[in-house]
Amino acid sequence: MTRRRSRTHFLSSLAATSIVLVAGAGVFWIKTDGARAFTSESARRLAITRTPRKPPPALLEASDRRLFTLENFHGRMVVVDFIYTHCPTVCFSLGSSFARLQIALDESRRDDVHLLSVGFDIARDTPDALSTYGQRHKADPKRWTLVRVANVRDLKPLLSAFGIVVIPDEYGGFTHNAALHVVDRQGRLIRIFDADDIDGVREFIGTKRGS
Amino acid sequence: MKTRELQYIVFCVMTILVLFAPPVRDALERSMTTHVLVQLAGLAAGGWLLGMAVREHLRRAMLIVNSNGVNGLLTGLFAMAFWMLPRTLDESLSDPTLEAAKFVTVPLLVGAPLAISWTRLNPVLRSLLKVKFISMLLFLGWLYVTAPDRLCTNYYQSDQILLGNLMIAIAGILAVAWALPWFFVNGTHKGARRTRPHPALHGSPGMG
Repeated sequence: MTRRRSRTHFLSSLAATSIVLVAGAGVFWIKTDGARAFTSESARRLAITRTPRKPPPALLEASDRRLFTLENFHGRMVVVDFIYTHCPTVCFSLGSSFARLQIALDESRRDDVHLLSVGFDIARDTPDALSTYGQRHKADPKRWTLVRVANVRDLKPLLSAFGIVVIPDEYGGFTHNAALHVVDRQGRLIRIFDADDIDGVREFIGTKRGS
Repeated sequence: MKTRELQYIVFCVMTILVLFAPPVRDALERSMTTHVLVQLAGLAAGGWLLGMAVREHLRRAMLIVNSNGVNGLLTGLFAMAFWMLPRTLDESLSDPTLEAAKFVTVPLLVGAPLAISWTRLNPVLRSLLKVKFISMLLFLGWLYVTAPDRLCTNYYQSDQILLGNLMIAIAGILAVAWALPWFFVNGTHKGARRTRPHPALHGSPGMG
């Protein structure tokens, strides 16, 4: 009697084990996109690769004070980064990434690719500050445009469409996820690369030549 | 229900309510370190209290689905792994559903099942789990300190490094705390009891 009972308990526990294992592993698998995205940054990149997203229309003000929208680039691919001009660290590396990318595009005569730096520090990223930032990185106006949003209310939707999280830091600057964002000819965000992954971007836009 | 069990439940509910109160919640979630070491750890501790309170009352049910404690252990480990993902930490800040789920599942799926199962587990497995817990803290701490990038988009790297260092410190403290009793075991006393010869081996003294 007791033996049969402990046998039943063993079997019912074993059945419960399989339920726990399947449910636990299943939830973990779904939440990490099949063990491919453990951080929200990799999740954002994976989501964009799977389903390209069209950012909301936002009026942009360039360093030469011209106004335009992302739509104006249609027909050209755009590599977008998000910066703030007072940034001493990561935006500087983004700036040098764009500078290197600019040289690479010149060499390969890619006139169908444009570079766009978006300053998110509305108060301090004035057209003049953007222009200084551009000069510091030898930005060629024909290839590289620096902008901020013209209306403050457009900033949040634009940042969230790109998946950029900006947090003010202890030193009066900002901490943000820095990356290179490729927008295709239809104006859809299609791929995101590490801030220093110039080769990744070059290779990717190389496959999109003229298409 | 015994008074002690009621006390556990009151403490559990109070812990969870305090951690859930918006001012406390916001303050703790502003830093990765307090988010993990105070909020998540506190919720798990609250769940542990709940588990201790209901342990005796669930004995029959546990005999059927959790007879050796392994299922409760697995439940706790899976739920813990889920909430250790940098991604869920990040997303709980922007997704109210996930945030609510955190306050329900960390006590009910991490703390409570572990407390209910702990006494059912084989003592060897329990010791092994303590060692595993220390090594997990050390590994994650090392990872947080040395990762070149931020793992959470909502937190500073300096915060991540602080959390890593604290996890390593906690691992050290736990290792010492769990090992310390071994140095104070009264060897002769326990040894004497354990090595007492079997009665059958006793000769008849004075007859040799």
